[in-house]
Amino acid sequence: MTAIRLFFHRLASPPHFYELSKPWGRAFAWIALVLILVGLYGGLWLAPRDFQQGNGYRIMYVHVPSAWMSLFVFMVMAASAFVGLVWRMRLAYAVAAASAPLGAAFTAVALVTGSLWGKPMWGTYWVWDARLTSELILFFLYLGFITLNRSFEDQQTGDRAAAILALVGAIDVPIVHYSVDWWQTLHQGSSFKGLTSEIAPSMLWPLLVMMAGFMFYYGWLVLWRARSEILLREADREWTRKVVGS
Amino acid sequence: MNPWIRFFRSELGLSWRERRRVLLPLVFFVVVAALFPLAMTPRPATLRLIAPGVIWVDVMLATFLGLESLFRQDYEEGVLEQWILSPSSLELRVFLKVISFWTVTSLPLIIMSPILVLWLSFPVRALAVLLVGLLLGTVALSFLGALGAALTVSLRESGMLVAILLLPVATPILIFGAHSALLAAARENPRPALYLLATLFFLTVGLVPKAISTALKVSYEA
Amino acid sequence: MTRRHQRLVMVLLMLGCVALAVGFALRAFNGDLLYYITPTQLYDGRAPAHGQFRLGGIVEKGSVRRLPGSMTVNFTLTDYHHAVPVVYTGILPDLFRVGQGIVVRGRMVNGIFEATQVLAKHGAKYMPPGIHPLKPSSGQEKMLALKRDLAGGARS
Repeated sequence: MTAIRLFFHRLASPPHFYELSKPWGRAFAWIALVLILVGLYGGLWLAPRDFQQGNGYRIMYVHVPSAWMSLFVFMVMAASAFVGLVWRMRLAYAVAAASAPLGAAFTAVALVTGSLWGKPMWGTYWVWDARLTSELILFFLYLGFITLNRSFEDQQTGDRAAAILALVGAIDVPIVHYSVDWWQTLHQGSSFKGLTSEIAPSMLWPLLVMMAGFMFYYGWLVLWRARSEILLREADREWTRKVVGS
Repeated sequence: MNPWIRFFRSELGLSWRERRRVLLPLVFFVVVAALFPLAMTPRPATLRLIAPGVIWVDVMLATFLGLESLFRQDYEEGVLEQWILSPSSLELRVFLKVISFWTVTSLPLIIMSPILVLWLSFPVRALAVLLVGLLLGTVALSFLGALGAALTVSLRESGMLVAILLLPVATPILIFGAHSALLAAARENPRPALYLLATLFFLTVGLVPKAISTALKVSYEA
Repeated sequence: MTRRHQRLVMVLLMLGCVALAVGFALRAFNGDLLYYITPTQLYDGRAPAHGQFRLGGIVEKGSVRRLPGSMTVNFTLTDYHHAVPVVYTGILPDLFRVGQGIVVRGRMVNGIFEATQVLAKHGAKYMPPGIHPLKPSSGQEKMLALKRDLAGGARS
């Protein structure tokens, strides 16, 4: 127990994190590379054609992980925003700030691939249905977070103001989703219902591998970006000067 | 007199004395609504369909732009600092300030909206639903607008930024608000939409004052 | 009023607001939330008198007829109680086929639904061709599945 507490306590200290994040980030990058290559091979070559959608469904191997990551990253962002506001931890703010552009990128990829998938399947690039619209709103929320975070001269004010926005947004995203759903719905129901899935196993495993790959990819990038964010926030400290070497 | 009532009345008086703040959103509201028939076809059938959407988007923009500088003066003159240091509840102060501002700026918009509705050939029988929706919606939008103002209080130019931050957050209010009026106009049951609007109203009124006070403290502590 | 006292009142007010919000949400769910109507509902006069609306149903077997030399398609949408003739001009989505649940948007003109948009609603199932764990079900079952699907999407 004390060992675990010590581990987290040390992890929260910026110099320690800076040191640790390098090997971890490297490991994540390699794992991500392997998983994504295996997932792509499985999804694009090994998995059979769909009985209804033919080869068109294969875009899901990029679309579903990105859409999933767009929500996951927002959750990470809101959670670190909360930790930052309550315990005033600089590292948490660095993680939130590092996550925002990544989340925005995942959201953009999900939107674009979703549109491309929509044209042959539904007959239109864009419908204002619940998932598409709430994904778009999520994208706007990410942009708002990034803008607000960078608007202040004092980085700490920016961090905390953006953290409040992230928390409000975290409550808002499910409401947006529901409201648009009520407004009109067209997208198919979720393919994952609890633990059982309605995707055939031969098509499912590459998807799961891709999702894991995207997770590690995010893990790598967020560590990498958080390193520079933390240097920015600790620019006046002794250890930063030592690390940067000036 | 109860100090809170006194505070509310003085806030009301302060907002009222700055006529510009009352008149500008109102003029903006009317001018923007008049642009739509000019930009689109003036056919009554088309206008009737877009009327609730136009009025709701218009109200939303007028509220956010009007509220953008809500705390600016208090911040610059150090009043905000006193509020934060004072032992009485900051949340309640924020609540009363927003409500007083709503009374002076949003209430005139609602009173004005029946005229716009006539311009846009919106059926009069759906007017009651539109007004109830606006009543609930503008209060919720005012609290969100105040949150935007609080987050950016230490920035000099924040109008666009506030809009970017808040418009995505406010979409559910827009959807249920405009849709309730649209349903009423199409002789359908607008109740579910109004109930959901009431849900959002109570959620914002209950939770956002807390977020606003936290945001104000952040700006002050910096 | 002491500071603690005041804080307690604030928390109670906040909880009260949240409770009211939940109450209104529950009331809203009790009302019927419609975004598309079925052919039966259309015959019961539940369609809006003016303007466009959405109609959901299954493409009836043997009803699809293309006008030669044009992009116009005629077909019938059914919920196995009532059927509505639909006419549409334009490119149909890939998933448009007999027995498939679709949603069309448009208006009724002289007893024919003039669609401006045809949207296929593909199920959340992905299967290789050949494997059909779900036997081609009877029409009734399919309609039920479509209803469940659309309603499920609404609630999720």
